[in-house]
Amino acid sequence: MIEASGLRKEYSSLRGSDVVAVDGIDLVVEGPGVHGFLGPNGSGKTTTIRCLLGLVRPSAGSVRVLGEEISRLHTVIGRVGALVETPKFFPTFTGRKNLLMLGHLSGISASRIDEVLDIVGLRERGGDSFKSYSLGMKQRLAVGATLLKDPDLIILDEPANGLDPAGIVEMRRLIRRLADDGKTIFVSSHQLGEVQLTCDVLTIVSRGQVIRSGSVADVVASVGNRHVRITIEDPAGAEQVLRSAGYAARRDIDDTISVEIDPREAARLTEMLAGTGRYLQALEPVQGSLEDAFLELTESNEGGV
Amino acid sequence: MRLLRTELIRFWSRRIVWAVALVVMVVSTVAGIAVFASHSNEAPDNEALARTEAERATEECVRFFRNEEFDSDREQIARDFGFDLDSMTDAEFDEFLRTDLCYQDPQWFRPEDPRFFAAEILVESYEARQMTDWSSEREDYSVADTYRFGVREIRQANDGFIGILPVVATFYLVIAVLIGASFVGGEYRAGTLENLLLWEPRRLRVLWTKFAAGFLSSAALTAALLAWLTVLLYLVATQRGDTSAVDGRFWIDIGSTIGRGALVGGLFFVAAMSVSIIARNTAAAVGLILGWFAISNIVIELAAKWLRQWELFNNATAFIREADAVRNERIQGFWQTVYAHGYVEAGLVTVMWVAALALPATLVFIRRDID
Ligand SMILES: Nc1ncnc2c1ncn2[C@@H]1O[C@H](COP(=O)(O)OP(=O)(O)O)[C@@H](O)[C@H]1O
Ligand SMILES: [Mg+2]
Repeated sequence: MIEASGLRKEYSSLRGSDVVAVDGIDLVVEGPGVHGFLGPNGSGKTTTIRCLLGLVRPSAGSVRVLGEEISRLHTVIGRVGALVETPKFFPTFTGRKNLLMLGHLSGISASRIDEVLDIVGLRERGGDSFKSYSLGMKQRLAVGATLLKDPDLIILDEPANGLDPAGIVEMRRLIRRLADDGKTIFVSSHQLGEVQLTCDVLTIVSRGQVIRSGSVADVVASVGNRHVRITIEDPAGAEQVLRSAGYAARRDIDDTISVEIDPREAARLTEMLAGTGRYLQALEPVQGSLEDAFLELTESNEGGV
Repeated sequence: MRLLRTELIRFWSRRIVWAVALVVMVVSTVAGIAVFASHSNEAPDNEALARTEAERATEECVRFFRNEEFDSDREQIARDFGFDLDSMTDAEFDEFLRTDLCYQDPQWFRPEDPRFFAAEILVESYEARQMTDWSSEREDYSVADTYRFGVREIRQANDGFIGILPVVATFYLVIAVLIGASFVGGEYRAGTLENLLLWEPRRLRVLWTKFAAGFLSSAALTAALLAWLTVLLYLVATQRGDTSAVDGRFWIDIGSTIGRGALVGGLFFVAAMSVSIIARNTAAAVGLILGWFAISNIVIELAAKWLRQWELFNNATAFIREADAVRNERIQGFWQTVYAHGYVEAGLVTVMWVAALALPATLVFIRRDID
């Protein structure tokens, strides 16, 4: 659905300092399903999305959306719905009128507008001016706008921004439902819990570069889950033994020891400690989360700055 | 077509459009009321009044010269006019004073006609233009194409203002500039341009549809506002004045003046929108265009006389007035303004200016990052 290779975007400011917003991103989004695009603030997610949608001219690299280059984007734009950064509508027009104006462009019927307002839960407030909406309502109207065309590919840039917890859950359900209907959703976020719960596939970016990509399980496995926690009678002695064997072992305040090791190889610890006459009372893998993975990845990428 | 419809809806949904239209309509209504109040339907016997006034002035002059204290002046006069004072009777001298030296033409004493004459006030007749005669020096500086001496009877206005419709049309260009300069500016600010491009990524199409919608709407708005003023003043003329000289030709002049004003109103929308795209700023675009409007003739006079015949506003107003564009020419040591080209060419020059702004704006718009 989306392919980008070597995508790069530099912004040159008048003061002469260039900002590299996107620094050679390769990206493949295959549908259907939810593809998360994860990265801390300022990592180039929005800029990448703008390049995909022809809003910003890449400095280098190539982009294809639904198989078409940017110059031919108009041939497929009817199958793409997108929300970039913040919701953008005419403040004095009502939510409904704003959607109607967009709908006119593709001959979308008024009944579809109401349908969409229903989907995003704005049916009752559709007649109020956009500027009277709360941030969450604005966000939902913007998501509604992306659905008007009943698109195959939906690009959402931080759709959870400004939503309250209930709204976030609602948004998550909506995204899942769309994916279950066979749509492809490319959703960016800097909030990890979000992505972990909704995404099938994940691309993590930091400082304009892709640092990991794959299924959510693979990404987590590739970084997180490398610790086990052991409980033992003589923690000080055990820590000594493990350290001298070259493991990164650390005694925690509860006198358990966490050791950096792939849990699948944890049997070796048991063996080694047993060799010194120490027997484990318990060994458990530390449940890794995407959060850990994400922090680890992005921190190592930011390292040295 | 859908895009055009959307842009038309947006144009007429903008508050600035209605606000400006409202202000202009209120101001012209107030002006209409003022004209109504300051004119009267009664046509006094102007000729008799003028004759009495002239006679009174003549007698005063005669009395002055009859006074013995002015003997020396009398001799001076006699020398100047070459007659023998001594051989003249007093009566003969009085007669001379009355018919010659002191004669006051009643024409000079005509009081202003209190009636409002529709015919000249809205659009001037050709003959009114014949006053600008730059051509006396040399044959090849012929006067305007539109110099059609004697084509028609002079319409009968002798009011202070003559031919105001084209002048008002020129000032209505400010409206087109305001609306045009803010048309995309508002959209960049609200970010809705981004939405639009997510529905129609072909930017050339997007921009030129905006130009088209703005041109049509701005022209319609200008025409409507000029028509409003015409209707008001015509009604005033029927109630407080005279419409006897109104003929088919008058309505053709009115219609074509409004038509040309509307055309230029549309063009100035495109020009202002173009400048705002290049300058990325509504206020800068308005300032630039109206600033040039204010100072262009000073700049031309002081620094660039060659520019006069090619300058945007001079050509736009010439086109609206169906008058000729002039240029500066040094004739026998003096700068004179002489005929440069007719009003149709002036219209084309205006179009060329607008195109010269719209094309770079298009290039900028196609290439610019939207973020
Ligand atoms: N128009 C712009 N001009 C200059 N720098 C920009 C512009 N847009 C984005 N940037 C910079 O590019 C980087 C990436 O921004 P962005 O793509 O918005 O990141 P994200 O969406 O991941 O938060 C940031 O450092 C940002 O300051
Ligand atoms: Mg962003």
